[in-house]
Amino acid sequence: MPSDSILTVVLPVRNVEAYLPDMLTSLARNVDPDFQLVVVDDGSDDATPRVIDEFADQFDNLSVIRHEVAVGLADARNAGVSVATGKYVTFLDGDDWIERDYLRRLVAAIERLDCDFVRVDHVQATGRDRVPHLAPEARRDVVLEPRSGILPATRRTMVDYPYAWAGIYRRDLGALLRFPSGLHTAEDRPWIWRLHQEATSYAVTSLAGVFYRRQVTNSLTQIGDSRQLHFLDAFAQVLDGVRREPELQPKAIRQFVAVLAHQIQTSERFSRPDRSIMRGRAREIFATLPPPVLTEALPWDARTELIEPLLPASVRRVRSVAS
Amino acid sequence: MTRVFYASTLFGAMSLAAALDAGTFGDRSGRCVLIASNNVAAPEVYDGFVTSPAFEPLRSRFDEVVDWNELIAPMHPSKWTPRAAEVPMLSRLIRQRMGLEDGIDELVLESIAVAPARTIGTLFAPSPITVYSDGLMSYGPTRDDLPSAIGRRTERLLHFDLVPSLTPLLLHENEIVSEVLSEASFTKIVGELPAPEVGDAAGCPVIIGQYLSQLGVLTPAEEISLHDDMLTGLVARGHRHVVFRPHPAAGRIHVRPLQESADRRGIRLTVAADGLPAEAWFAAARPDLVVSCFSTALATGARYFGTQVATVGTGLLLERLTPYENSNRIPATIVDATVPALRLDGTLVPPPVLDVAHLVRAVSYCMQPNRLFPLRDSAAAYVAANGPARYFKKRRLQAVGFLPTPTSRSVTARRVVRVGRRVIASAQR
Repeated sequence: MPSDSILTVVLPVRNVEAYLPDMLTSLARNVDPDFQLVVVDDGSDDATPRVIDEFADQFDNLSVIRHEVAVGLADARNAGVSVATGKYVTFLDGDDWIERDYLRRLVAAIERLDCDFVRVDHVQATGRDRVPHLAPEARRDVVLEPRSGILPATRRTMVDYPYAWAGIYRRDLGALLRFPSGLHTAEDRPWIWRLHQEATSYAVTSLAGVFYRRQVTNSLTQIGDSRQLHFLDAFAQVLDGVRREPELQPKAIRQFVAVLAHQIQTSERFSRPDRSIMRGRAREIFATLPPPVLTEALPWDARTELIEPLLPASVRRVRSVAS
Repeated sequence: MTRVFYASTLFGAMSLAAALDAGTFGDRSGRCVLIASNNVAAPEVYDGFVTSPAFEPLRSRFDEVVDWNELIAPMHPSKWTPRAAEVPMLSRLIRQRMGLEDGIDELVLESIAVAPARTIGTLFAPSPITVYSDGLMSYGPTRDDLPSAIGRRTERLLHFDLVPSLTPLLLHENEIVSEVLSEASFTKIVGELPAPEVGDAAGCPVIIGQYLSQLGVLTPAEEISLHDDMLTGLVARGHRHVVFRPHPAAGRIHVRPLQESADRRGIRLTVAADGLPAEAWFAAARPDLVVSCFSTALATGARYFGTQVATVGTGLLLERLTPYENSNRIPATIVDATVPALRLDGTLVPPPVLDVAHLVRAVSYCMQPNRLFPLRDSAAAYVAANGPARYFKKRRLQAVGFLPTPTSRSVTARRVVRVGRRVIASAQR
């Protein structure tokens, strides 16, 4: 295996036989002798492994890692990064596809800007509908401090655009590129926070080469599996990460409230025990937060109303007096 | 004289080139601009026909080729349409970009009822429109009512004379003039294409794949088993070497299962996924027999290359196509009524002896009863004489009044009324 690749593409896949040919075809069209492709088959039980075999001869530098039992997206990505040889790393998902020349332009952007990581825009594809989605940072092609991408709490910022596949990262970021082990969903939340808290430089460039396929029915985000509850673990980690940074706490709290409110709103898909676990864990997480900070951070809207019963009594009391 | 052409497939571009060669557009002194659009689900992944080597011999017929996908990226050609209020601005900008500020004398479009042809027609108003039709759909009714801003400008229809007993119904309601595309020019163009690598597959029977699961008509598993049935029939006829031409957009999905099935039976399968049209294969390999469900290649093979053709699965298709007015119904009906069926035991069952022209008009009327009301009496006579079997649906016949509607207030009756309303609503759209 050559040790001097420019870019390693980490592609975790699980039961995507119908979509993977699109991604691999588009990757084959992006192929470059300096690019390494690492496909991590995370316990597929459909024809995904055969699809990978069919395309194998189209890549000079391909590694395939097979997990007999699925370990989840976070550890699948970690497994990929652990064998990466590239100076830079990017992530892709098996049900999406990329535009011709995307990877070369991605590498050119980070080389030109010479920073720890570069984030990009993307296009969401629902059937033949296309909606361009922009990374929230409007300043383009200038090197910024990653911490400047976190606040304000009341606006959409770079930590609200957590998609790992919308960017390229220097591999020597090391542990910062690791996704929290064991998480099957929301694994990118603690990951993006830590990156913005601890890396030293980043930039956003106007490149929308990833086509993100919406409405994939077997996608985990639509299934009321108990693994969906991992968002609670993810936010426990995010909130723990800002424990000593009070100015960042309101942003993390508002993000958690937004996601929690959404999960409660769509909670019919969960089993009754899972719903009860969700409420219990959310209560525990709220109880770890300083009540004044929590009171201050809560948005005055329907989201807070939805989660109100899960707040500590002291916070509820202050809010009821204020209203 | 400036003409703007639009094509989305190689077959479409071949049709245009044949028309240009045959003098359908006069002496060719003017400027010819081809707008090429790639309408597959993920055009960012799969190249359109203009990058295929097969397009190279055709390219010289056009002064410029404009990539519509690139122009409107990242939008998809089949979805993007300008808002009415933005048409003047976008029309101006796109004309400027394409150097068409001095006007367009003729627009030549295929599949005019849907984007992107309809979009191009809207942006390049008020130029007169010629519609050319690629295949058997020209014998069926117009799917959607054209807005009068487009319908009134549509003057002629160019079509291949694939089934000599039929005349086109497409755009019939616009009192359009039909012109037959020259067979000689078309076969000459096929001869100009790069020759496919036939090897020792010359003469071997060919299975032409479609992509019926993408149309939602069959499940992916049913489509795979349809190809398998075709192979079974050919093997039963004694063939040991078969050629498979997968649909260009479904290559990877359809090849593996058929290859595995052929391997199990000890049959040699040559996969011809060369980006060339089926007709180029027919010309070079002169196959014994061509099998498909209802591909237009069955018609071009039989008519232009004298190949024996057979169909598998049209019965299921006719059953499945919904709604009744699905545009694929006419190609499926024509193939079912004119092409021998290949059975699993290898026998070729000749099609029923029917008045195909009368049948196609009757089915077309039932598909679009409002738009084709002058055909009502003829359709009623056909159904009265031949009954509703195979080509008609009971509910649709009740909805158009060819079968009595049950009078009891049963569930069926209410459902028929609902269907009837839907028919009326869709006809009025």
